[in-house]
Amino acid sequence: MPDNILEIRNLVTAFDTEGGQLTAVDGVSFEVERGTTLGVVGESGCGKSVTALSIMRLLPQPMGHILDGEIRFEGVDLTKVPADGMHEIRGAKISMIFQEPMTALNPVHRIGRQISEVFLLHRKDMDKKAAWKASIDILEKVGIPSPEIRYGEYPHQLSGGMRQRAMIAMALALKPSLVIADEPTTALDVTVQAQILNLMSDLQKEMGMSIVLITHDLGVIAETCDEVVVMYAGRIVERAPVKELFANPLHAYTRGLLHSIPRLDGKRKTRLNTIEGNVPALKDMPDGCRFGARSGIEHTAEELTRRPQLEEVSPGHWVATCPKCYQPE
Amino acid sequence: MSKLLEIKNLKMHFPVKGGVLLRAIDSCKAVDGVSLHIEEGETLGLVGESGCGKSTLGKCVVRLNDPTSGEVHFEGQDITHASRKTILPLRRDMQMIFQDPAESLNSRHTVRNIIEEPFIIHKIGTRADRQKRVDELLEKVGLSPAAASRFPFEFSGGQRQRIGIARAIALNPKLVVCDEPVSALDVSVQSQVLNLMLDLQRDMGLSYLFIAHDLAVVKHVSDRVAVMYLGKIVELAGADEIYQNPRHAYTKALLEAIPVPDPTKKREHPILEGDVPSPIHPPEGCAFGHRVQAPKYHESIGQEIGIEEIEPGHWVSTCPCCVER
Repeated sequence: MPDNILEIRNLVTAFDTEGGQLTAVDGVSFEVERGTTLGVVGESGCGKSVTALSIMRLLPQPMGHILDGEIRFEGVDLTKVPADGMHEIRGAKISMIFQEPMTALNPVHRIGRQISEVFLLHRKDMDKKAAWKASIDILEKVGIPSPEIRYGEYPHQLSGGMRQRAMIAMALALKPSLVIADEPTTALDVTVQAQILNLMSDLQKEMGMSIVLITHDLGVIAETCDEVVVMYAGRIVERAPVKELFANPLHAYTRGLLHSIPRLDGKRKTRLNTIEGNVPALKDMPDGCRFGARSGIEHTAEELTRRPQLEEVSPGHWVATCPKCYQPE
Repeated sequence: MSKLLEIKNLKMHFPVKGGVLLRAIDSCKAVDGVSLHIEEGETLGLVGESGCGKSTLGKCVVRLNDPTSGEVHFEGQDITHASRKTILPLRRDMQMIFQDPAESLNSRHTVRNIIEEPFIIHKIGTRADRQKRVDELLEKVGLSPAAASRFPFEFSGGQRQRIGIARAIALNPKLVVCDEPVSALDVSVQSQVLNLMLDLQRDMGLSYLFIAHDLAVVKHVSDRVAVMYLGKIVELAGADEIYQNPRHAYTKALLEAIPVPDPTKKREHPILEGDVPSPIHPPEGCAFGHRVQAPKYHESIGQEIGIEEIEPGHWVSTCPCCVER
């Protein structure tokens, strides 16, 4: 039996809107093995961030609801934990790194105060002095030069990369066992992105935490993840170990994604492969294959109404078995 | 081929105000001595990290910024200090596509108003002509003419960028400055927009100044690529050449930092540390040598660093610490 830190079973998350209830995540299941990195990839609106917020129980209130499913973290079903109970888990055992540190950090508080707050809230044995010391240590660990000076600075005084390091410091302050990183490097330059990804993998080796990395960048996935989940329109279409997924993509959507990125070794000024059209709107999502309309392959009415099941077609490789989008050789 | 646009030793320094009287106490050297040219029908890619001055350079080209010194020639005409009256007709030939179409399209105007506006500004055609042109343009960028009566928020990001492109090509321009045109888009949509831009270039003979930070995208669309660091061009060469044979340490570092979508390849080289220094107080010597603590950094202090042609069409900075000779 693999040692899974997180097990999600058939998660369904919906939002109340003026036009009725919209299902953003529709029956998602996956596991994260302890100490590994799971990548979640997909286009904007595919439900990857909502999945993350569901795990953290940070869905916008009052419109966001988890309608069904289980989120088992170290054996505890988070969907059943009362709000007070989540305060103790969130930040201490599971923490989150957001995309844009400028909006996730509080602009009117000094960096150091925001980090030491984590210690003061969760660690009753720590006084202000001890929290200061611990904050300096963690700032140093994430590679912020002269942490004593940075401690007293405001977020706007730091560069984008430094701010993201400060966010990582805050997320890792209490040595959580699971970190959810939602597009942690999307707002950064490619050089700084490389620094941050390196930092995260070094810290993972040192602290042994598990990571769920949400991104739309397949390059980032290839470089950092052990296993990958590909999401499309609220559902998982494919899931596999990273090398297997890149070597042997089985679903039409995964193939489309992999082929549409321009490559450095590709021929210049040639037409790129595209996935035509757009993701269907949440309010008129088909029950059946949701990629059908964009796949360029004619789907029958039945295929568009009957939900394709996710099946394990080879060890560890799962694919949504729409008869048109997945055609085994 | 002839030169459509030529920039000579362009500088754009913004005053930094301070003190009680808000006098200029310092200057931010966003663009600091850039020379380059774009030929007809060509795409010049411009890459660099944020804060290196690439957007400012793009705005100087279409004169949305007034350069501090240097020269901008468009079709042989010096437009560096051209008055508003002389620049207006030239703007028909130079257009701009912005990064975030949600912000660069007026949300209170219908798509028709947005695309029609260039014709109204330049007093072209009757109402019926304009109507027809808008429909044609929408079709050209892959939208249905029915889109004309809708508002920008009713469209997805990729469709909005198509509207921005339709507006930019409305007057049959010669040069389009594209400032990060696809960085806000998803990969599947990004490739649609890039294909559209390549098609339009072929059909209309457009020249692009393509500003982006994604080197794979830049390589795909460009004929030549210029690499910018802290207000200066450090390397400029043919797109294939610069990727196969980068000479400047910064170009090499940028290329190595790109995550490769292939899990069997692992990064071999050490990654570039630190950030771009402040353009207000740049280091004394070479700005990049200072960042990476190049062993020969001291040689660059006090030197005037320019750019020289080391092979036909391959220009690289004369910095002693970043380029091996």
